[in-house]
Amino acid sequence: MVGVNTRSLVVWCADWPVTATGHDGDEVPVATVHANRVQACSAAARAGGVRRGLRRREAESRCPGLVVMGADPARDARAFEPVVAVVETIAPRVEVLRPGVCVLATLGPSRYFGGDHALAARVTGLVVGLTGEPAGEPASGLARVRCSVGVADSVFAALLAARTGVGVVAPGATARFLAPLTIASLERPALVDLLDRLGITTLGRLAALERADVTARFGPEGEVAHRLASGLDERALAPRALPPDLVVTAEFDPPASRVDVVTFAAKGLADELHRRLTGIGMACDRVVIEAETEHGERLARVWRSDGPFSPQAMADRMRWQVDGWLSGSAAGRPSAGITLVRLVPDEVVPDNGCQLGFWGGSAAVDERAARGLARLQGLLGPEAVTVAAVVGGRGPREAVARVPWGDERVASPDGMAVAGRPWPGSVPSPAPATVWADPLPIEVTDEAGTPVTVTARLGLSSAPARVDGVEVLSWAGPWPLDQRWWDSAAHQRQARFQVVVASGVAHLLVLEGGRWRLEATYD
Amino acid sequence: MTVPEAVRVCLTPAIDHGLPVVTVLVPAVPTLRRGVTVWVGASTWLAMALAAGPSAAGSWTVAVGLPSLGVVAAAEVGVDLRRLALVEVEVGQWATAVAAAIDSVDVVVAGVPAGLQATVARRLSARARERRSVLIVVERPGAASAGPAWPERADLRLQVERWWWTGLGAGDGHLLRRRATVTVNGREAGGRRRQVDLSMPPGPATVVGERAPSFQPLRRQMWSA
Repeated sequence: MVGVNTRSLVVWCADWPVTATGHDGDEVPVATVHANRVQACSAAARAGGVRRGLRRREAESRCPGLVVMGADPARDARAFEPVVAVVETIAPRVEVLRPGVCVLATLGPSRYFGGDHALAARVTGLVVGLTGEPAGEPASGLARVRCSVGVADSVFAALLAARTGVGVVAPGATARFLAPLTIASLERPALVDLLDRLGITTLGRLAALERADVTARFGPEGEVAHRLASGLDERALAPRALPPDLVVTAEFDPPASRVDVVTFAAKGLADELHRRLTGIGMACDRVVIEAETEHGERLARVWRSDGPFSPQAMADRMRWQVDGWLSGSAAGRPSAGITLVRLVPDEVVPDNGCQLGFWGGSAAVDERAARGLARLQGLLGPEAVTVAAVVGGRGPREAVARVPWGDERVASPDGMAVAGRPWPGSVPSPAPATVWADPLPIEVTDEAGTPVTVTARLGLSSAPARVDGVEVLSWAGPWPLDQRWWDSAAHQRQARFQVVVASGVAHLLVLEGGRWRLEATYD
Repeated sequence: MTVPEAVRVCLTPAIDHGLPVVTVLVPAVPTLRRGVTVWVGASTWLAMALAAGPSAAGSWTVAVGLPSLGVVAAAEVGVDLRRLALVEVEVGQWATAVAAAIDSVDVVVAGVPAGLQATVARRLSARARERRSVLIVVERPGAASAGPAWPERADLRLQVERWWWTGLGAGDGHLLRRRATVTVNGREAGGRRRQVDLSMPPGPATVVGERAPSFQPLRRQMWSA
């Protein structure tokens, strides 16, 4: 390992897993738990006696109002993105050690901002400013971020400077700063335990030993510990690479009010985006197409595709979307010409190519249908074109789930097998051909004209003889349905009837809450 | 090899360029020629049954403007749900949507809105003929019928005169078996008007459509009658 020493600035956000959950650490006692042990806790929880490493039960017993959340590294990383982004405005090469801690080299920025203290103050101001001015709402959705900044000759020392609150350590004074700190700051439990028992209780004492001796006794881990204690880094900073700019934009001056102008630009945009993506070996299967007008109206839509998008497919979708917008209903149409279209790749996957099947016959038909349906979605909106899957249920309406075209299917392709499983209390087949989207209220009366009711014990008051005045030829019921009794919002308690009326048409009637309605018709 | 009675696909010779038709409908519609416009009055089930033949054989179906379509019933009569798409439209965009659907798939089932103009109807029929897709126009269920909703004379016109249901008594039983008296009319029906009785036997709880013979083996399903 080469001896590199870059003067570094570390931004350390206290209790980051707790901050990432969005709770305010000072008010609410929150702890995140991983493998049944507390991983991080908020200031309020600490005041209540919760510490890292406690068992969950123990923590809950010490602090009764504790809010316990599961550890989610993805959530922490995602929440830390805005912080890193704002630090990247100061210096382009920022390394994220872990969610909550990021590092940057201070050589350039320090000179630019006039010293380490000024730089540290600026970074602190930026990060704290992320979570909201006193008056407004948090800009990034985070709760208050408690961050502190440390500057020193090595990353390890800077992190300790941030955590202990020292702030800026003068250049060359790093070893002196580290000397009185306890050996436990190394965070290598086995080695620390051993060193402690040997009487090496501070970093200064470890640094005072000869490195060769430490390496001989403790091995490579000991060497690393000695370097850290001396104020050296074990490795150089590894800044994250800047993401390539994958957003392509085209502007129109004068504003375009016809589709063909946009179409012409769309092809060029799609080719450019495809070129940039293949340059980094990626392809995108989800893209956001945005269009803006002179008056500020925006239409943004997410397009999905089964395989990666080809440039032609992206250009087509842009054309359909703009066409649908410009020629849509008067309410949705824009009031001015289009000034800007933008393609933003939403989900980018490694480009592995596309294996077409043999016997291309049915694939060509599917392809043609898929293009047509995507075009319909462009004209009418993504929710207007749906595919239905049978998911099983007790009534003709709930047995079906509708999914917008292009979304991953909700149900398995084996849906009919699921429907074939016993659903006690379901309406027997054959199923009705018309299931009313808005069930109509009707009146069901007996011979004398009094409304027919069903008691809680399924006792029918009288035989139904007329439905909205039309004579009933034959009927069957009541078939009770009482499902989801445990969920007050989804509870359904109905009695169902099948009737055949005078014209020969059969209907499915439902009595719920004392009211009759026409649920479906067997036409 | 047992095959669901209701959905045994009846294949007609290829010289007709006809699409297959399910067995139930064969007495009324022996074959469905590509490019025809079919008008179906007063029955969504009949429209679905017409679409089921081609669907089970591999064609795609799009249903435009039928928000109350019973999908389970469509699956029971033989429509393959993996190749069925449902499109909801506002009144102003109905014609555009149907035209776009005709361009892309083989069978389009469209619920006709009120006040459709003859020119629009004629143009859609011509487009279906040109693209060799079947356009099935259905009277929207529940629509107040003030005269024929499809102003053009469709190539094939089917109208359910009367339904007969067996299985219900006076408080017992459940709907079992349907029979319909259908009037068939139009150029495609040989120019004569005739009445046909279609009888649909009670189907099993799960009905799997049979694919047309292709490179895949036919699927066999076990069910309890």
